Amino acid sequence: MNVSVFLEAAREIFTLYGIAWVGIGVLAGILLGAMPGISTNMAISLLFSLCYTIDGTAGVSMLLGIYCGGIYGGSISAILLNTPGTPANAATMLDGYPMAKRGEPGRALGISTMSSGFGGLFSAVCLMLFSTLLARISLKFTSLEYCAFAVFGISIISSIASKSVIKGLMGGVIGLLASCIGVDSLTGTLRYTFGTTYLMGGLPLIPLLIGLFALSQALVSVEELVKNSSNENEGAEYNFVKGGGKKQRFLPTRKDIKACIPTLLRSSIIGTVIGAVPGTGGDISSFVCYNEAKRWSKDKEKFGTGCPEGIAAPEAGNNSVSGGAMIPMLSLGIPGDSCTAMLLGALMIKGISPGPTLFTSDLVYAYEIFISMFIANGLMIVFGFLLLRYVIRIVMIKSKHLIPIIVVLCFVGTYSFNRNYGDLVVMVAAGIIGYFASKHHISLSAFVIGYILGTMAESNFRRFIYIEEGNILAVFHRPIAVALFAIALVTLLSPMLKRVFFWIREGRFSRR
Amino acid sequence: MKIANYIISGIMGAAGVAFLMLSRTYTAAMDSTSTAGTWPGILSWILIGLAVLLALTNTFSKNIPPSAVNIHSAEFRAVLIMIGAVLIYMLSYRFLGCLITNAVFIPFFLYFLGERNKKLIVIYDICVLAAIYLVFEVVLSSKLAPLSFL
Repeated sequence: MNVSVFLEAAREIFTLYGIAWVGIGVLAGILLGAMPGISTNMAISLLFSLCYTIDGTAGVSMLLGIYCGGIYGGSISAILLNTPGTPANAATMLDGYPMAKRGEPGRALGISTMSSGFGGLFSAVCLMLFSTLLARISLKFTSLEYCAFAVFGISIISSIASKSVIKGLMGGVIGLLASCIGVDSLTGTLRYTFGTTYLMGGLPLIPLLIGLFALSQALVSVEELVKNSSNENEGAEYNFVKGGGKKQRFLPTRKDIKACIPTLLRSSIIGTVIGAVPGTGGDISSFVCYNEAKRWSKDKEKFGTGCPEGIAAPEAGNNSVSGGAMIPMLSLGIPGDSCTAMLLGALMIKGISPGPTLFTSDLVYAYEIFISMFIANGLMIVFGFLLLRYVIRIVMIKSKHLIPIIVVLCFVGTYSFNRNYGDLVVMVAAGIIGYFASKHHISLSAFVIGYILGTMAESNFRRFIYIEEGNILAVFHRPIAVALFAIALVTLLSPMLKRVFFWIREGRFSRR
Repeated sequence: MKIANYIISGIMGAAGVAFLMLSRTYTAAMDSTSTAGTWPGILSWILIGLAVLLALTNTFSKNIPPSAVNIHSAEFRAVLIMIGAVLIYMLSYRFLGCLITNAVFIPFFLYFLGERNKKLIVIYDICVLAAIYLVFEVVLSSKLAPLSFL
């Protein structure tokens, strides 16, 4: 580690301005994440435009704060309402809600805060250790390996994020094609601009993200609201646990901490590893960690009845994904999920290019991100324990009061980015298309990752073709690229392979 | 979902063909091996292939789930009204600016979504407008959309 650069980065971040923006991000993340129906994606996209107006890397640090705080915030509604704030908190309900229901919501929230903080800090340490290492290795990569990484990233996200592999891939390919719009960086040709100057710079990222993740979700919320009210269940949609009038203690007891330590360590390792695999996310990690905690436990039957390990495992697991997903994003420039895709976009807006060069020429920015991760997770614990008493009120806000704010923020945020009405048209179009696409299982995350990775995949592919003078078989001289392309192919074929294995196990082939 | 899948397949196939036709016009080349249209051309072919594959699996697969969108349902009608309102909101934003548009549309959205308490609607409207003005204009010095005829 370069100590002088690290100290320079620390000086930049440890200012009132820097810490205040991380704190605002964490608090906004917790509040938005706690509201059922607002995912971390949506929270980041709603406040993405602020990043543009905030000086230096403080804007990116704020988004990091939202990312960390959002996943934790989702556990509040999972515990108190039995409704996960974000998909990553669905597993927390299994034990969090029963514990809250038996009169210990404070204990459940305290364990969740402790576990989320532990998972986040653990993954921040891993991020610091492994991204530097991976970046050093990736310096030996050529354009073909980068192209292979991009293909690998898209293949994984499309097969995991969508219920239909074909439609998931369609999302990824449309994203790749959308990234071709604008000036071709290698020849200067204008592609798919239809004579407009607006599209010369390509489709704007911020309006696209706001439309796809915020406006489209607002439309989904309208649908759910009408569905619930027509079922005459709107008033009773939430079953809020208040704690039976007892004064709640939020700090976990020594006994709970002792019981949870092995689970916390195991889940943090699993979560970080899962997060580092492109295309996975907190939802997968939390269920894997919950299952592992149950498998390793001596009292398996107490899971599901409100046991501390059942809360600690998913919460440590889903929060440790944040650091894990940042490892490929920072060291290779490949986002692990749609949240890190947005963070990648934010870094690019600030003129910072993630990838191995970040660790050579822009090392100070890499360290600023590491430090911001630690501060964000630290503040998450502080806010969690100090403000939890007040934050829990936010989960009671009804969708009918929330949707107008989301729509208004979509417009104000999009306009403030560039003060261009064309951006509003792109945002609304993306929102409407995003609504119908998500309803028909076309993966929006695959689209965004395809869009962001598109330029990298194309330029490296064409550079490879140019260097090898059109000899595409030269791929076989690069074993890492071959391995990545092979994994991508296996991933794409995995649903079919799974079916074949299922048939073999069921003995269908033998019967025939 | 079967009909929806055919529609998606058709749209994607048409988009693939359109992208492919346009990519053939981008002939500027870095060298003899690839042009500006090579990469989008490859992607267009993949998209067309996926569209065909979707149509084929849709035809031969027996367990296609029902569509998530019921076009005759009240909730879908509400979504369509909301989309219409958002489009009018967008036009209004262009001509009336941010504050006037929001002053009009926030109460509309609240009423449409089922809020009937007039006092709450007014207070909510004022609070949201004040918060937007304070955060974007005052704190972040990011100009809100003005009235177009001023």
